[in-house]
Amino acid sequence: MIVVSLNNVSKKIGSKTIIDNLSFDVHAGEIFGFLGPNGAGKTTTIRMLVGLMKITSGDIFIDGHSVKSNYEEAIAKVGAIVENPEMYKFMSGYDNLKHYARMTKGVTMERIDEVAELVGLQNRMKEKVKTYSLGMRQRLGIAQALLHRPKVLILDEPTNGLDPAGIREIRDYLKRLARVEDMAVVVSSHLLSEMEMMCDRIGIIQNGRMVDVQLVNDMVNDGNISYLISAKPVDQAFNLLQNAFEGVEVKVTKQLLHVEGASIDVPKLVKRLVENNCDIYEVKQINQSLEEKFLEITSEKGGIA
Amino acid sequence: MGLLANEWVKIFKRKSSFIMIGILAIIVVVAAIGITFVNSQDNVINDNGNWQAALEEENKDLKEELKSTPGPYKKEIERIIAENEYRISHDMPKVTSYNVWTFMNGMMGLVDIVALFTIIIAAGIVASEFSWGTIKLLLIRPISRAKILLSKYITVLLYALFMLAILFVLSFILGAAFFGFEQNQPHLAYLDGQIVARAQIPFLLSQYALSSVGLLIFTTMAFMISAAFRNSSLAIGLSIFLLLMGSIVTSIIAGFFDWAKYLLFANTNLLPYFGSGTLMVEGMTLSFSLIVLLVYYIIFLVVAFWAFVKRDVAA
Repeated sequence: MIVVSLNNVSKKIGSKTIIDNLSFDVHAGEIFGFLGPNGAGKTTTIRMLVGLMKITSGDIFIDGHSVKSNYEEAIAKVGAIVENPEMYKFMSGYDNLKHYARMTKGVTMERIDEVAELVGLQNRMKEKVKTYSLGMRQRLGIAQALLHRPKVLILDEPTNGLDPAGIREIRDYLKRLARVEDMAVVVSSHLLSEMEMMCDRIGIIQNGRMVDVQLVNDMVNDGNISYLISAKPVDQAFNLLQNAFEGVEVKVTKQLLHVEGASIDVPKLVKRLVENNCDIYEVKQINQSLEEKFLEITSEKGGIA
Repeated sequence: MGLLANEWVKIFKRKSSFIMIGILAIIVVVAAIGITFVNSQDNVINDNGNWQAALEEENKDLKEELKSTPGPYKKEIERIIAENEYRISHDMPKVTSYNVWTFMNGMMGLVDIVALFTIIIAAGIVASEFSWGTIKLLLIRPISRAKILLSKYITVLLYALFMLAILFVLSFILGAAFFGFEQNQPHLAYLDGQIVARAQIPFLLSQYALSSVGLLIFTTMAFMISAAFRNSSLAIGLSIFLLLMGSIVTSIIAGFFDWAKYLLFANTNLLPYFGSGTLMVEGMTLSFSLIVLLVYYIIFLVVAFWAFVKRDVAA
């Protein structure tokens, strides 16, 4: 089920086009990553999604309600953190949540306690937010976003400032929300490795345009697979493999053989080396990381990656 | 309504709001103690024996003086004469010592302090949300921006009303405690050449209300600047600067140009229309001033709402 839908959304400030005909959908139960270099338009898009910025042309639908013409209905389905989770520092965590609870219908006191426990802040709720660490503020921000049981959770850089354990916790937590509560989660980040582990689908945005939308698994594994082979003597191995197989490219870097191709028959390859008295120390498949892929995509489509 | 509760909580969870109330209370207390002290120093009891004769004597002198005084000051002298005559015919000697009413009348000057504090609140209530960054989480709720801004504006007005109530009640309590109800007389107002006796509390309330017209206008102006520029120091600075300099500059302009009467500051003080103080520009009427004030007020509110609702939040 499509929960969030952007239709040819554009944003112009003055004569400058910040976002250019952006379209994508987010489904219930999936974590959608919104990836792009700084200044690509991630935050602007998120601001338009939550109605902080006006949409110049096109429209955004949340659970079927237009953000443009039916804002209050649309935003009622959204929980969000835009940029940093800024809270009222002079109030306690509990008072902050109560503040937001008063602004939405049907959020009970029990729900506040429930959400606080969910993000693991139940013991610190009475303390003022200025005593919180960044990680705790981030969690309070998520608690605030979940108060009214939204259908969409929008998080701008949710792992910013968290330690590795905190990042892992948030990641697992978001996955649980998506799988168990069937929530649609939109996450923006420039931390590529993080996105790779967290998201189901990633949209890459550059210069206000959606460059590519792919499933994470496809993205990482599509096309060519490469292997790293450590064999001795290197020169002999190189000569043996070069031109021996159809569609396989062999390079030598740092005394290692780098084999790349669409369909590599590894056993055959190894056999050939062994039969010709090469010693093999290691054969390793290389997963091209999202980072490389990301740089590749953004530079392919003509831009500064 | 939840929104009002929110704004109220946000004001009173901060120390500065209590400091403002504290300052106001301290000023009233210090004034009461100071006046008591000064009174005990020069305790000159007037010759109570024949005050009627003294007043008649004064009136005679004043009538003489009236012939040689130029226009603008005539009215004041006429007022004193009328008041003296009223006192003689109604057997009401002049109030010679401080009592609760004179104290409360004196403390009415503190409405300006209340205005100052309310301006600070008004200037911060929108702009602070921007500087804290909390505006983003505040606006992404199923509530229209206009409603959120309205709740903030009402909160500012409630805060002003709250401060005025504190000032009124506190100066009444302290006035009663320090000076008592000696020489309890109604207020003698001068309207259309007639002296009218008025009960003190309604009179003082109406005076407070009149003094608060300026407060309302300047607070709304600060609120507008806050909502339009989203910068609290600018809003506080500009409003207080205008509050302090506005009337001076306007009176200078009024010395040369007649259009000064269309300026905001020529109209914020309505007391002259009710028999105290002088008008900045001759020939202005109450209804003229009210219309000018209303026009400014509407402009301020329209700009505030337009800027807050229409502009993108990029902070």
